[in-house]
Amino acid sequence: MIETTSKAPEYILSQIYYYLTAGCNLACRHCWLSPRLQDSTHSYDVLPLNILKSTIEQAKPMGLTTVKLTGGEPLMHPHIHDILNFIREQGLILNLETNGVLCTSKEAAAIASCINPFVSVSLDGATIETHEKNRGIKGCFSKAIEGILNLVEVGIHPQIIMTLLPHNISEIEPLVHLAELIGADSVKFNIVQPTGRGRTLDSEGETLSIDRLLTLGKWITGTLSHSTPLILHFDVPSAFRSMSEIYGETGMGCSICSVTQIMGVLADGSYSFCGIGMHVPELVFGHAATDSLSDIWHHHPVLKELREGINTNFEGICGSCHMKRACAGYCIAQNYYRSRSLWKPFWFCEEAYKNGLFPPSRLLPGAITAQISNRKN
Amino acid sequence: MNKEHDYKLNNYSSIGINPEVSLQMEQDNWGLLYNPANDSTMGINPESIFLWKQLETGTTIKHLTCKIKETYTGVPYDIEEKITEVINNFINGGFAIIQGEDNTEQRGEI
Ligand code: SF4
Ligand code: SF4
Repeated sequence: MIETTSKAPEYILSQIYYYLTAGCNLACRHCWLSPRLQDSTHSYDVLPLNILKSTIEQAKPMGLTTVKLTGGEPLMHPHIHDILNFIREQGLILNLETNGVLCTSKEAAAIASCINPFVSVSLDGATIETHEKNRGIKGCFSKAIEGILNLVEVGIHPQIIMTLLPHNISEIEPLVHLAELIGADSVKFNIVQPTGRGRTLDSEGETLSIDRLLTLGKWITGTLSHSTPLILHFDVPSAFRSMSEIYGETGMGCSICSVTQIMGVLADGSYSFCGIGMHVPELVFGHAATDSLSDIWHHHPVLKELREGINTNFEGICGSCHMKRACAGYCIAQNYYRSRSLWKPFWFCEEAYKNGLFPPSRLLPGAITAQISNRKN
Repeated sequence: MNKEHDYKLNNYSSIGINPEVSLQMEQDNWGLLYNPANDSTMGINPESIFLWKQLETGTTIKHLTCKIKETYTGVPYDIEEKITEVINNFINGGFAIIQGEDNTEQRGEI
């Protein structure tokens, strides 16, 4: 019932994120990774199976318990069945992020054979037009629904992920009801990150304002969530979520940046924090074909800097926020992308603070008065 | 905090708040304790806020247990352990301090 935000950190490599494919079968307008569109005439890097196996073998003695498969689109990987088999044989928990399009009953059964599979599938609207407007490929809505139904058929109730955009917010409620109908377990609402294609959307004014997002969030968690048995999760930094929502008996925990416990392996075999290495070359730590995972994990200067500073070095609003140890700047990779510093604040909170929208009770003494004077100016 | 005396927490320890710590209440009746000395924050639920308020005037775990039983119905049988756990969390984070032994109370019970 009680939680502290100052627990001692442990740097166990508990999870690897595998970005299995450099290409993707969809062309989502908000995608922060912006993979190239793969079709019958274009194909791109896929992570070699031997690299996946060797990195898992190296990581298990370092504490690995979970593997996240993402992309591009992980189900596009030509050896996806071998990959799933290997994960199962190694006794690792599977976390899979997919657009659902290629999830036939065969893939669904292979996923279901893994340990505690957690699957999230993206749906950006409750109708063909709205979803496909954002996902860029005709026919992907019905295939995604079919994919979800295949998962449900084998006992997996996936999480639906909806990215909130001006053109789809009128379909939030219908999407929740659709999710219920097709057997999902929860719906997560994401905000667009101003990285990759999301940056273009943002600069074109095609994203929602912080004010609008916060109003939507209140409605989703405070009203809509009472009208459905599904768990609804509005994914914003912890400062914007009530303590009971984070720590209460049915609380969902805080959304903490997990870079101190994860390693990303990109489709070309490079190591990075997560997928950010695709955009920021200095956040590529080495290559899985030539560098030992343990050496990189224990000795890479960026990871060392991160661990040394994570409790003390956050700047701006993150440095003045009560939640900093429970949140760790929300997404250090995004923060680095924007500022080339590990310690700059998360854009959403920074902007909210500038506009007087940051919750005063989450500000350390001193920052509260500054926010009030910001609002006056 | 208790270096001079090095008291150990027991049911009769007199416990108070660290005067430097601030409590910030939120709309859902949870709250945040902030200790500027170690820049640490603790999120606390309404029950723990009740305990915190009792500590503001100094109290013991024995007193707290009685107070809870007087105030609430359906109190769990292991309430004393639960209270001790919360108080220990307060003390370990430097939010509360052990001020000494409440000998009067101990004598009274004998
Ligand atoms: S959001 Fe996912 S499905 Fe869409 S382009 Fe990016 S990786 Fe592909
Ligand atoms: S200000 Fe920073 S630490 Fe606080 S909630 Fe936002 S991102 Fe997290």
